Amino acid sequence: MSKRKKHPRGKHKVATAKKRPNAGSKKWLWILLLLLLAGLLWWKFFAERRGSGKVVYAQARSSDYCKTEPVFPLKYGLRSPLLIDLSNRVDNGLFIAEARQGGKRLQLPEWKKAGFFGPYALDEEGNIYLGPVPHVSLYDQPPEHQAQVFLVDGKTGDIRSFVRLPYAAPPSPRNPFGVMGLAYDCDLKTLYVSTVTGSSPEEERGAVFQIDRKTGKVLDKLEGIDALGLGIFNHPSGKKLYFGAARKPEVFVVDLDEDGHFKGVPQRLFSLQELSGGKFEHAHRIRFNRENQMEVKAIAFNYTLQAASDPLRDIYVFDYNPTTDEWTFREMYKQ
Amino acid sequence: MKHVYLYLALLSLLIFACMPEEKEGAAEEPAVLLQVAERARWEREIPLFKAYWQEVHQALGSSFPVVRLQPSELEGRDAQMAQQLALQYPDFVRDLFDPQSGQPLHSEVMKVAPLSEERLKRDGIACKAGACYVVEMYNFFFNQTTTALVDVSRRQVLNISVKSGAREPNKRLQNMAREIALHTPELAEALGLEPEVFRTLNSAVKPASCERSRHLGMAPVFEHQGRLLWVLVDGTDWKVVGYKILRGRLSDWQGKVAPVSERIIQNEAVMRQFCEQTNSLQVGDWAMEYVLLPSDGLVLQQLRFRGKPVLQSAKLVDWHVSYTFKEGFGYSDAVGCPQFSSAAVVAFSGPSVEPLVKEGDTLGFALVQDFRSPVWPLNCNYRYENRYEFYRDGRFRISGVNHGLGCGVTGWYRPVFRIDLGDGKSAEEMERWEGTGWKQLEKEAWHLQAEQTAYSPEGYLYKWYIGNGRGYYLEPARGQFEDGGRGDFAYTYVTVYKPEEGEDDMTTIGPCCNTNEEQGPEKFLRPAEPLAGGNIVLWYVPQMKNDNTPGREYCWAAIKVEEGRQKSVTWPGTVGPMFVPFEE
Repeated sequence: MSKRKKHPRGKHKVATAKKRPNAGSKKWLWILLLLLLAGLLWWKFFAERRGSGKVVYAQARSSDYCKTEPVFPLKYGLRSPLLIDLSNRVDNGLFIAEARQGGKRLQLPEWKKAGFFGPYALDEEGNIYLGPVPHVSLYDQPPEHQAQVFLVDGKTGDIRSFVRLPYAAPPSPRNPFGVMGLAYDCDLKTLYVSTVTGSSPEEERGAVFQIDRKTGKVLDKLEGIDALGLGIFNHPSGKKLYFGAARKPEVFVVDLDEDGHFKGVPQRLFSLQELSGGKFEHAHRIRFNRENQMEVKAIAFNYTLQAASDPLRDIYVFDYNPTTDEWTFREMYKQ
Repeated sequence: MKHVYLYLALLSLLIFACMPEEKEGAAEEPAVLLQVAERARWEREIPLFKAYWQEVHQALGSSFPVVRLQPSELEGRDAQMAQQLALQYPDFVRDLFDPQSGQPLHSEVMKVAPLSEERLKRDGIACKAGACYVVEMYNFFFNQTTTALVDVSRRQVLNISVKSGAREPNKRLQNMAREIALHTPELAEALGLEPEVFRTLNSAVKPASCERSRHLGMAPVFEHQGRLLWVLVDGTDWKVVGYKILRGRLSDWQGKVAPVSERIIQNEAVMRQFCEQTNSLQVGDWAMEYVLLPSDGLVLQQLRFRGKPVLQSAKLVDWHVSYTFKEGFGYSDAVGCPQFSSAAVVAFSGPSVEPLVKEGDTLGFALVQDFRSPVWPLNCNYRYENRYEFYRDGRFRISGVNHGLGCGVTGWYRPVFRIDLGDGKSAEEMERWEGTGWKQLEKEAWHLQAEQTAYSPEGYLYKWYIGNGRGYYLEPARGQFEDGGRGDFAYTYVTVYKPEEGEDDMTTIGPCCNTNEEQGPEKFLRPAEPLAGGNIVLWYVPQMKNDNTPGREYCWAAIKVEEGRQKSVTWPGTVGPMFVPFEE
């Protein structure tokens, strides 16, 4: 390059002309490099590449990365950032609150009628999916009430029953629980729901369902499993659904295929009890934060209403190691 | 004939395939709840135990109430220095006294050890090799562990953190837990061994959890012929909680925590012994059956006195709890089994039989079943009892006991009893005292026991004929039973027996917070049916209000300091009627 700069202009042209094939190849090399860069960027930021039936995610992260706040609270004078508050045990139901000290709180009248809620998930339109949960008694919320998912429209705040879940055996007071976990997948626009409806002391008859966000149709199911908390993580090698077992202190993982269907048999990932400071308790919620940590909130779950009243919560934190594509236990602390 | 070996081989294979899989950790049998607390005996029999308590009392009597690790328990001078530096650091020792009463609390150093390379790296701590230590101190009152990271080379405390719960207990406590297990005859018997043989078994002590009592847990484990006896010792109250036998070897459990905890043992034992089977009891002239229902508490069945039937069944369906500080705020608490039930307040153990003694004379006995919220007596947690009393003279009482604490004062409690006297076949009648005499009730009805209610000269309100001229007077509580009770003020609902009206385990019968007769059973009165000649069921809903006025506490509980640890104190509220026999 430095030699060329020394050439007279005409000669440069010739030289250029003479070197045209070479110059052209460099240009193409640049274009190729640019295309490669663009491809890399696309691969990096737009995540997926389909081929041979396998989805590859360049960015390891939670699959609910697109979740957004509902807009309707703004109409009621609330300011972002907002939080979903399901912890109130005096006035039942859903509250939306400003995430600041002394912030405003909102509860629309029809929300209260739907009773208490436990798990929730948000989608890219700010819709809120809610799992009902009995609190202390079954007077207002009989077992049949628990076998459904509610949806609060992100634009209007209207609440409705989104999907009634099928069950292997009818709900009963001996097992007053239904929906236990919810997780939303932004790539496939599907909702995952775990339920323990119909399970008995002798038999696990619960299921994990994959539900179409638009239609509420069941797309796939994993049967004969009593699962509590759910979480989906996009690994470079594909999506994995994590769930907490309802009867053991264990977290399981199952692969999801390119359509989000369950693939293979769930594998035991770890036992909470075997971790430093761990206990015989159950993974009630599983979430992945922006630092790619898996946070497992654990409670003692015994299929009684004591579980819903129990204030004891332990949080187990795991770090994602992108090099090994594995989780490493960091710590356990009380909520 | 030539294929016989082949057939035999195939048959063996088939038998082998059908044999149950021998899994490591598989249970031999469900857990057994012992609740052995014999501290006085252990102090006599175990020198280590006695010496420990002397040291604890010495520490609690000093101005610096910490039980430290002795030099012999520490590895080297640096470890001693680390303990000393931590104990001199104000944040490390900030919880040595109860902030309310100023009483000393039992704190004990559990661990002094060099910080691992992994920990140093993870927390980005720059230390000279081997110069940094971790010092852990457990506070028995708060059930919390305070951890100090200490750099001995710089004589500096780097970090203090406080976390709920216990970490690994020190070796002395572990040895004590093992010794206590060896001095508990039920454990040697569980393995079918003589105590001398039991003592020689290969053993270890693993960390374990007493999650309900929030106590220090330890699990001595003993290996015998491919089986492991896991014992849970509560190291705060010094009690053998129970045990569980699993298949496996000690070597399989390296670096793992125990597979037993307080909740696991309690749940398994209660479910198996009291929820999944009906038990019989005979004491003196009384005979009965009882079983724990998923959400209706301890049901008493087939009660007989001197061989004659007294009662078909009695149970406490729900506790309605409301608070006057907010209208409509409260709970309908079901009590019952600890698994697979709609109970919110559950049994942690089975029922107990207690003698009823007055002035040295044993008048009878009581069958008592306790139910608790997970962390009672903390705020918004509850503790209730089914209490059935049986007297030598044929009287019996069906009562409910409320130990608080609930969500504050202004709490009203309304337990809902279902009582079915008689043999279930004979024609029954019910009379009510109407000021001057007994008046027969013709139809189903409800009544309120109010301030102005009139009672018979003996204090009876109902007269219940159960057949053949026999029956029972119902004597409501008006504070006369010398149990601290302040009266029932009960709603009673006299109904005709129908199996669908509460014979089976019931879901929540009514709302939490009604202050009138609408407690649930009123729905069985619509329409009011004639009682004549039928089988009668009485629903009884007493009312009581809690009180936290010092000196007048009722349905209340508190936590106090005793020997540097937590001690729950309760002021129970007891309600329920006495049944007094008559024969005409």
